[in-house]
Amino acid sequence: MMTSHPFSNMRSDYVLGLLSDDEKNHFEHHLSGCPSCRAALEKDRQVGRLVKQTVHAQGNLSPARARSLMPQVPVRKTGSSLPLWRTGWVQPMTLGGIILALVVGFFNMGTNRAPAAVAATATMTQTVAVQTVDVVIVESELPLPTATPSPTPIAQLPAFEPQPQSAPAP
Amino acid sequence: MAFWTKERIWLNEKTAADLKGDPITIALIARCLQGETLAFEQLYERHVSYIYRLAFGLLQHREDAEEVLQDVFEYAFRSLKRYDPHKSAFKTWLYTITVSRCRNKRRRKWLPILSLSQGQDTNQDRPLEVVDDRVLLPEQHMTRQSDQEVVWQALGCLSDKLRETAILRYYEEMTYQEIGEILGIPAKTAESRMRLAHKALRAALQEFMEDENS
Ligand SMILES: [Zn+2]
Repeated sequence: MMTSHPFSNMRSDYVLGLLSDDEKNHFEHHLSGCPSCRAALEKDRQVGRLVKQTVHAQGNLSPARARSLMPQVPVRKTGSSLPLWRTGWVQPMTLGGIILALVVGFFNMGTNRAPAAVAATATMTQTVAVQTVDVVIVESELPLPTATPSPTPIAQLPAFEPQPQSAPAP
Repeated sequence: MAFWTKERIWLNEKTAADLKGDPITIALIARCLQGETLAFEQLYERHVSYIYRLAFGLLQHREDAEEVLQDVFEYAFRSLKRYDPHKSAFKTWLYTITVSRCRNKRRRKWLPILSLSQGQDTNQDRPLEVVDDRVLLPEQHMTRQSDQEVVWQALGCLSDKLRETAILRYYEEMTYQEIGEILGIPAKTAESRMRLAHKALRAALQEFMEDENS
């Protein structure tokens, strides 16, 4: 009649690397004097070897097949020498802007709305110019005046009166 | 992401010591990120075999494994910037993607229950930690087959989660810490899964091993 071996649970843990150093030493000490454990341990080791060999052999992929399965190399989008308007999300916006400008230009051509369009463009240009100046001031980190005098309304300014150049001092 | 910026050069003396994985792969990745097509090819060649083996081992279906393989590298190429060599080896990163893709594949594609002679995974809706009881009856289906087929079937009879653990441990010889990282589980859970997987495989292969040794 078979009885459970006191070290039977330790055998698989030993093979699977799950024993502490103390447990390992204890088991190895037992192993040196127990032929049945040595035989059983060999079976435990064989399981791992068989799985390894099988996965290796079954999962063999020929170099030609491997090459044919390689996905396309992604097209480089960032960090290139391309200008900003041609990279990433900016590109479709740039394209959209050009198309919009062409469409607007076409419909405005030869109509009496042209001056309005020109005026609108002028206003936009001014806005952009003001924003650009703002950015430049911030980015250049120029020391800003601590107390800015509040602008005086034009109506309150004294009228310009030319002073006589050669007026002698009293 | 920050790792690959110009300010932090990838192989200077300060950072090289902290990097995980092999330096050749890291150098290849750096070249890929500079847009070198040849580097992508070399990176692929260096890692394709074991990724395919893992996918095929997990899915036990050639076409599915090939699809997963393509999917994994397509994603990896696109997301190369996200890989941080301080956190994990590139291999571990690829394995994580592969396991995730294999799980998706199984989820999306209902694998019909095939006969055992075809060696397919049949454990889709079984409790995750439970081993297929057919593993315990090897004599029923392990006659007149080649050694590899016997082992392959035994692997196929494991639940998905046990098979993942068993392949990563036996084939890839990974630590339980690494297995836990890849599978998204604590190392202790990986250990207990491995105990179950080993017990099931040993039982399934018992007779076969005895025949072989006699
Ligand atoms: Zn013993």
